[in-house]
Amino acid sequence: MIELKNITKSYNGERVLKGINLEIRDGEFLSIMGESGSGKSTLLNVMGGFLPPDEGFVLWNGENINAFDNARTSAFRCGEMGFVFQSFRLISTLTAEENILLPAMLAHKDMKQTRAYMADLCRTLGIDGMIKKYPDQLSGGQQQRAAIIRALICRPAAAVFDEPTGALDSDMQKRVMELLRRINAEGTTIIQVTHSRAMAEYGSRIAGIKDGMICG
Amino acid sequence: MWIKLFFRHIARSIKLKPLQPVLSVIILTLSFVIVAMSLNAYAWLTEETGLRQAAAYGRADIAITLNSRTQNRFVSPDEVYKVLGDGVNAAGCFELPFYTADGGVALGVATDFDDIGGVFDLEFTHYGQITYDTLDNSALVSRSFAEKYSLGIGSTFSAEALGYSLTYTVQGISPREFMDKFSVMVGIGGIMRALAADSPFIAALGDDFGLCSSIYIAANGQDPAACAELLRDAPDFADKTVSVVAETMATQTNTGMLSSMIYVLVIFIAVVAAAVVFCCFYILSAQRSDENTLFGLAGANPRALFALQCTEIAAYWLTGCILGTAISLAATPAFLALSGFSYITAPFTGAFAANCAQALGITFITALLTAVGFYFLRRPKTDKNNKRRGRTEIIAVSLIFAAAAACSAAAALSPAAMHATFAVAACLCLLFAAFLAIPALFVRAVRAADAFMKKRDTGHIALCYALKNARNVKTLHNSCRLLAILVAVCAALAAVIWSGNVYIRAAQNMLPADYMLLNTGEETIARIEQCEGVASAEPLYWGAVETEHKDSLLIISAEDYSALAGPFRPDLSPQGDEAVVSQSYALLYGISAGDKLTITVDGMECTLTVKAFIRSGISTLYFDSQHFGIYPNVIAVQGDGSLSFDELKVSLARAMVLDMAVIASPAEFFEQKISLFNVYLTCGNILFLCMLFFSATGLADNLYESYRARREQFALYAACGMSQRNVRAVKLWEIATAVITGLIIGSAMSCALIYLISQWMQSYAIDLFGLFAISPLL
Repeated sequence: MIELKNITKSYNGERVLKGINLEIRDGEFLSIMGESGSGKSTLLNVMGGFLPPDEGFVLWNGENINAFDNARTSAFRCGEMGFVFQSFRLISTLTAEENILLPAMLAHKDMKQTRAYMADLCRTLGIDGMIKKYPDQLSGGQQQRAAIIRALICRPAAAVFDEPTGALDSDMQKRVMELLRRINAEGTTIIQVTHSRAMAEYGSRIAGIKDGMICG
Repeated sequence: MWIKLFFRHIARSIKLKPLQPVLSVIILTLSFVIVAMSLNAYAWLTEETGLRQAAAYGRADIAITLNSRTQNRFVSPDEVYKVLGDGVNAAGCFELPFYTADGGVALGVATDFDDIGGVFDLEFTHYGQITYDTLDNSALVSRSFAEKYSLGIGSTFSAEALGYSLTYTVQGISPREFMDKFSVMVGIGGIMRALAADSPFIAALGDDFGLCSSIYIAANGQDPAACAELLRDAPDFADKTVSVVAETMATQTNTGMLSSMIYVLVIFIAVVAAAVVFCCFYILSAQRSDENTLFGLAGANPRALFALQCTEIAAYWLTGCILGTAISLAATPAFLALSGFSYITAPFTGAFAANCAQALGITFITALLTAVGFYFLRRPKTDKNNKRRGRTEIIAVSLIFAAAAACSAAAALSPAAMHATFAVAACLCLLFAAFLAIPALFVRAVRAADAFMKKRDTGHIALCYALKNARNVKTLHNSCRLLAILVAVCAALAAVIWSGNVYIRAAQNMLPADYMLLNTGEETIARIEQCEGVASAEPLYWGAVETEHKDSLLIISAEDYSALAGPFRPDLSPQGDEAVVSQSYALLYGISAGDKLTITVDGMECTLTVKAFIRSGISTLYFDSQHFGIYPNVIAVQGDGSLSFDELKVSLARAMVLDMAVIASPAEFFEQKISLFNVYLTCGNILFLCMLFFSATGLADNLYESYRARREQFALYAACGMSQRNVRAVKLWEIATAVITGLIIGSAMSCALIYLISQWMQSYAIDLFGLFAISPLL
């Protein structure tokens, strides 16, 4: 279970998150909706442990992730949590395949099985023919799909997605969301941030965020 | 209008991110200063050498010295007037060492104060009064001697000379050494009276006889050559060396090699500086690539955009030159003082401006190379451009060689000099081609290592990702490129400097002797062998002759060649008219075994037959001087250990009172011969350190920027679960990859560079010991 307790975060004196309390059960598919500038991405970054909150704490299965040491943080990021950033953030010096396999290599997963899983995901998302290319040779949509597969390659306990379908056409959006649903059905907790109602409805629960507070 | 905006964009970029522009300007400034000071140092050295020679000879047009054939070693200036008449001024000098109470030795000269003033312009900072009564005990000293012994006008000092203890009163202090070598000048009368007290022979010569070992004659408008001929024909001087000073000075001033070495080294500086500035500019361009692209997207002509970027390099060049000129002007007085230049009083002559203009040109070449390299390497990688690049590299290399050929033809260079010019051109081509090719080699090496890792599946995460990054990170490629060029140039320079030091040590150890006695006579050796503290005395002929090729050739003759250490093999000892010649000299002039060589030694023409060749650092010829009736002029003396080094010198001086011979340690003996070589090596050392500085700066900047620009990438590694330890290890392995590859490529290049440099040095008949192509690997 993921718990956010009284999370507050400010940037340059301006409060972006104002005392957020949120619980996400294991296996849940939570969609967080909000307008531009409402604090969605900030909430996700705090939830993923990339931004420390000014106040409050984030508990993953009862553990405060901001209190992790370096080794625990590494294990957490490559084994327990997958993350897709809003701007994909692929490593420019690695091919798409290498980007995808990176967490699995760091987690010392069995590469044969991992490659097979990667091939399946790539086929599902339609990038199996271009994983040998570098990010600057891929379109925005292809990069986004590669980033999604990277987040899922280690079959993490939870995966966090910041606008996972922003760069995709409607057909591909459906395929991505179907994939996320399938992953969720296999037991992975999915948290996504989106501003699209249609995409949000793929989740089992929709939470709204407005002016730094959860509503609904 | 958009150009104005673009310049505003550049200005703002520089303000926001000043590191690369500032570094570029600093490197160009330093490059200018080093080049300007090197060129000026050569000019100052030439001027200082000329002034020193002028001080050594004063207004003398003719010099008379003793040699090995001299039978009558007692000569006086009065005999000159008998031959040339009273229209000339003649001054005799009796060179003798003064042994001071603290165990020091100062080289002094005894002369007639009136006569010396007729030939030399002596200047004094302080002057007392010399009267007829005080003549015998008055001394003129140099400022360094006065400061060492805390002497002022009227102070007295005691010293031993010729075995006599003498006390002198200082009556004049000169700012420099007299005749550029003597610290003390005393009246010959006092010395003669001291000698006469113990020697009836000297007493019989009379009070007016001024003994001297050399005579300097000012012709006062008469033709020096004609005067010299008259003196040579006179019985009193037939067995002495009579030389025209102008001819002697011309042969002594041989700075040809120094000048070409300076030019070659400043070109290396320009190349290394260009590589560093290129790396800085590459980073700068990468930092602004988004904005520059936007200008292009907005409609700016790409060629115009590129040209404007090049004007930025020109701006850095101009700034560097202005700052460099100011620094050169400010640093010149300190440079001259630290370098020991004591005769130059006006360093900022027209030559200074001309040399600064040359430095401007050379620094411009640096900037131009940067722009050219940037142009080649930042163009989009299309097939058309790749084909063009290959053609352009061939054209550039061809142009360099064509320029070398044109310069050689225009300057009517000798075949040896042309060989040298092409060797230098080949060095430049090698560096240019390597500069463009190194990143491709680096990527290939990295890919090979990556494939090897995959095959072995070592599980070494950090190395694995370091290799993957190294494929594409341009700043790592530039680091490898810079390091390879640095290693190549510095290793080549280091090999030359090391070999030069080896040569100097070998030259100094060539004669295992405690002292060398110079200008000895026939009977000197008998006196020396009886001398206290002497174990052995080996007579040699040691001199230099000018060959038909206008080169200086060191000639050596020994009775027992086993006394010589160094490269000479005693089994090759020349007998009769045989000669053994250094290999480098023979190669340079196409001399084979059996060829005839004619040299003039002490006025005697000797025709020799070449018997064999040896490997020797500088042009040397070994022959049998006694076959031609030329007697030894140097005695190598080895002590038996019963006396200290200084006591042995005193013992020798006492034994040779009237031989007019000079006692010198091997170091002093070789000093004159290798002093210019030492200057070359000092220049090489300074430029070596400068290159190290430039390259270390460029490398550090490149590596720093490599990590600064990829902070996000390393954060992503951490976000994907890589531990901080592994992230640090990735960075270290990246550096290691670039360094190891750079070292390997650089070492390979240095072998080629050393070979080319040795070809260049061969044109000066210099064969540096052990210097061959694989020296860096030894």
